[in-house]
Amino acid sequence: MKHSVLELRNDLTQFQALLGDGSFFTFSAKERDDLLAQSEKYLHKLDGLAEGFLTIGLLGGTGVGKSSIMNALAGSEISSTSHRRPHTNQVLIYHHEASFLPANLQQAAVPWRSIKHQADSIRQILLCDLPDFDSLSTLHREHVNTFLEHLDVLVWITSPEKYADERFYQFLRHVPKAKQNFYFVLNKADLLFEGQPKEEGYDRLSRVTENFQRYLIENEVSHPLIYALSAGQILGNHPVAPWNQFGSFRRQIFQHRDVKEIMAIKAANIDVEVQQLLSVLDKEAMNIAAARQVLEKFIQDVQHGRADWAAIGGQALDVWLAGHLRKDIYFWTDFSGILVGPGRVLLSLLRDWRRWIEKEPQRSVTQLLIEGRTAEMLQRRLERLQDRVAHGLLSRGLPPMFQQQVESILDPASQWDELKERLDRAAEMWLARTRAPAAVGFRSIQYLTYGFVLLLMLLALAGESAWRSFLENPGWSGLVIVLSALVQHLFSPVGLAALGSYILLNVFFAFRFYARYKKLLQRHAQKFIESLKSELIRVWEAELDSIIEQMQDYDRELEARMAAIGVLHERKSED
Amino acid sequence: MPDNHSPLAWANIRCPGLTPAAKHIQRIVQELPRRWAVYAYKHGRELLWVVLVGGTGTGKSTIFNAICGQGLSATGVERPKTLGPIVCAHRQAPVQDDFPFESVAVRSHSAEGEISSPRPGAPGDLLIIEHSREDLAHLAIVDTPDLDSLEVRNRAIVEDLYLLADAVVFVTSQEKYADEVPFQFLQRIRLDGKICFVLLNKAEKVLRWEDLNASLVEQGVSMARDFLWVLPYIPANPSEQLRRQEEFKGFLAVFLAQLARETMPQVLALERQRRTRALREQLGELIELLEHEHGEARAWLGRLEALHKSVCDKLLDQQRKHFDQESRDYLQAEVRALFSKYDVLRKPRRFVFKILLSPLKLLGLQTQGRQESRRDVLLRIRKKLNLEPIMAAVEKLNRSVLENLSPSDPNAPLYRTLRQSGIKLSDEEIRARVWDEQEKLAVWLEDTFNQLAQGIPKSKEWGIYSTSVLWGALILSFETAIGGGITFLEAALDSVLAPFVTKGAVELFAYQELHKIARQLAKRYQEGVLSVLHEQRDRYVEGIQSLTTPKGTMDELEALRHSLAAA
Repeated sequence: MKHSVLELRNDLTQFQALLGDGSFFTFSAKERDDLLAQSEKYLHKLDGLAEGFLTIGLLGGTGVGKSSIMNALAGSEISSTSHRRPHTNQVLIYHHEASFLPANLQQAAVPWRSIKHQADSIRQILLCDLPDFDSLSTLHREHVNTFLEHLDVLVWITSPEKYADERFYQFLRHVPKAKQNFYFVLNKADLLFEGQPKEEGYDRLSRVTENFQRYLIENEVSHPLIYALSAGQILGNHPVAPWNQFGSFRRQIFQHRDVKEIMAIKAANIDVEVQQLLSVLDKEAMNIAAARQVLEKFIQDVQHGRADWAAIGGQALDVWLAGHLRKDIYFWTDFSGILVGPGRVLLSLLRDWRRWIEKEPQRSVTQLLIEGRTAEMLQRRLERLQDRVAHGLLSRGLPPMFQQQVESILDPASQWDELKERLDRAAEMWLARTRAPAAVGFRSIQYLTYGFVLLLMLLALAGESAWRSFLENPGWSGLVIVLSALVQHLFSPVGLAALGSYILLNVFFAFRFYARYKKLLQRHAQKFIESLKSELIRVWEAELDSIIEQMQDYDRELEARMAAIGVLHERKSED
Repeated sequence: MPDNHSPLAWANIRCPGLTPAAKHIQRIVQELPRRWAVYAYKHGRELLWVVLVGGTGTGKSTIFNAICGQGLSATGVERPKTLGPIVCAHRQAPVQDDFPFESVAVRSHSAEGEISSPRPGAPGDLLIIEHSREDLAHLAIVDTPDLDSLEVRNRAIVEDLYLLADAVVFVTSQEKYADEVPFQFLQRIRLDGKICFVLLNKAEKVLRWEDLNASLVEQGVSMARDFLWVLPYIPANPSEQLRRQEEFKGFLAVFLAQLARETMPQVLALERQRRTRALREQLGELIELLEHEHGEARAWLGRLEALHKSVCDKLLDQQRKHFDQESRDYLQAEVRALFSKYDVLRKPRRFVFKILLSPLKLLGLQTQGRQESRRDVLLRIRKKLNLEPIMAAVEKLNRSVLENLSPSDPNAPLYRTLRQSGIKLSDEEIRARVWDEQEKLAVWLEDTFNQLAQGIPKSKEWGIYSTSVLWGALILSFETAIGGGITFLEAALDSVLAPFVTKGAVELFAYQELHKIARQLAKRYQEGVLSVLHEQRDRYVEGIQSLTTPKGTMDELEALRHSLAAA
């Protein structure tokens, strides 16, 4: 008995909790339900520990004399023996007349028959004779298997002929019961003595028992308790030979056991059964460990490829920034305020022209969307990540649950939607922050230039005499003289030439300033694009971080799960 | 007789494990060579093999000794007692030569001259005890280890020896005759139709022949009167005692009569027929299963191809859009550089063009085009050539192969092959491969242009001259007439006139060439890109092909079956 009842109950409830949270990878829903039902059954069994019955089963191959032993133990012919093989096909239950059979035994899906006795000393014992497990009849084997769960103490019976049969050991290994509740009987030991001198007989018996013991130890029964006996001697009222250990066997089986002892025997069996149930977790633990390896390798790879990631992002963003955005930026960035006079007129003329040429609806800032090839490239990168981790999981042959989980974390579509939103928002915010430069110097130069040209024109138009009289005699009259001279000269050839020159000069300067304006705009756009790019790459790299983080979270989740399983597991491996 | 059949052919039988029946192939491939070896071994050998089989502790060795009349095989209460098979044969009997099982070592030992103590045999060895009894000279009687004990090796040896047997003595006991493992073996012997004696040894007095027979019939095995014997339990020195038993004497008489020297040819011929038939049937089954696997493998390849194609298409779709523009620009530059030497009016046109554009320069509105060298462009294209889509496509292919094409059984050979480490192209391999393809592409381009530059036919040359004169004149007049006026609007240059102004007659003339080269270039480029995916697919194809039985071996099997059908 390695664990107390309390511990077992604890293990089972923990196991149920683990199963209940639904995130099991290895088992299908049906398997999980089965496991739940099984653990429920064991919990129930733990509740019923105090019932006080001890069920002893006689197990063995065909023809080893199970029924004879049953009869010998009972002291009368209660079980039919026959030389026909295979023989017994039902479970024979031998019990005290005053005791009722436990309900679950009565509902056992195996044909059974009960025989009452009156021996008060063994009233808490149910003795069961089971069908053989090695005969042709598969039905027999099934009966034995089904009935196993009711047994507390197992008496394994074999004979000098059968003790090396593989089937016996196969069955022994497969039975999930505590080994300390096993007794082994070598029946028909009289055959070893028949027709032999006594010494030879003893020699044979000791050789057989030694071999038997060795086989048992090889099959993981560390301290087998072996009784060599002959039930035939007892039943046939022959003198009981000194080597016949039937007496001590009988005492061992029918000894009086108190409730505590019986509970301990039962609990030990449940312990083994529970441990076997919990061993299904091994597979789960193995799978989780393998999945974690894949994840960790993936995370490592991703971290390792950070530079590559940024480069890909840069390339993709370049397509967008250098392609669409550079063109669009002239529409959005309206710095027309820093152009004055003819320059501004020229700017608006060119703009109208361009709009007319391109016939495209003007894109507004709010439509600043990353799409087309850039989107494709970025999306592809996300998809590739998913493909890679999926391939890793698939090549380890892990259950599909892992892949589903990872895919839901790394779903490229939703991932991309989020990322796109983030990129768009970053771009918008960046754009909103840009302000037209004050460009006071540029504007004053424009004012000065245009003023100077205007001044020149006025000077030339009005003529020297008018200006001189005005300067000599400033006042309203002087001004009137200048004005009249202006009007007078305007329609003269000289005046027209001056006006023409004035217009030409204005156009010339308008272009010069426009060119400067464009350069300014270009410089601005360049700077803008560069800083936008670095901002977007930051977002893109943050995306990588978030992916890594999510995967690490998942890894940690798996680790926690591993730990939860590990607690149960450790208990199991305390053997 | 296809005796010269090379044993290597068996090793060539493989299957990817795509059908549920594939595990039978493994079993047959294990079994068939042994059957074949036995078949070849038995051919022309005048020796009847009688094999004693039975569960542990039934007394096979006791009966063996009683039949052979000597204490040859050790008997005892330890189980299992007989560790290795023991053959009792005449000293001239051809047992040892070419013994068909390589795993079994054959040692011979003479029974005469010394009073030999009984032997337990040795695990894995076949011990031949030679005698000189003429009455048993045509028999090789074999005591085998048990069928049902803990010793797993024993069972394999029994299986092998059973193949050699012409007659079987099945020994069981009171306790064991209903045991599943030996009984199943008995059923098999009966099914095979070999001469078979069933001896129930160690019977208690109460067990009568009729009981036993009824019990066997109930289980579906019926035995003739003379072939089923119940021998009583003899506690001491059973071999000696047994020979005096009436039942045993009866058995021995029938045994010797059935397996007399005179009947031997018949028995051997019958057994030979049976072996031939069994071999043929098993071969037929194997061939059928293999062909089924082949069919599945073909279907698998079809599915792989479909997957591969869908990935290729997707990759091309992405690539085509972007590649077209880039490559066209590049080719235009190339062709222009190449043919401009035939464009006689190019220089004056440029000159006029420059003069006309000079006012724009003054206004600060000059835009200048870049001229790049061929190398630069190639380098730029290569640098731009992003490996990411190719790697992503390969990754996608790998994933879908595992997702859709892997057998679900982890033990299937294909399951393992698809997951072995070398089958997936690494990033480095992809890169190297793409670079390689690019290099080839560059060489091809150089060659193409060199060829074009060398071998322009005279007619074409004149064609270019005349067209370029005409076209040049047209452009000249066009540029002089309205050039200054319209180029005044810098935007117009970009959008409306640029195509006409910058493209000369040469491009127009070389349109055909350009078109052809562009098409080829696109094709080669695609092939280069796809070659990586092809390589990945080929690896999978190789993988499954390494798992299928080669055609030659299939033919050999078929030939073998034919020769057996003829025999």
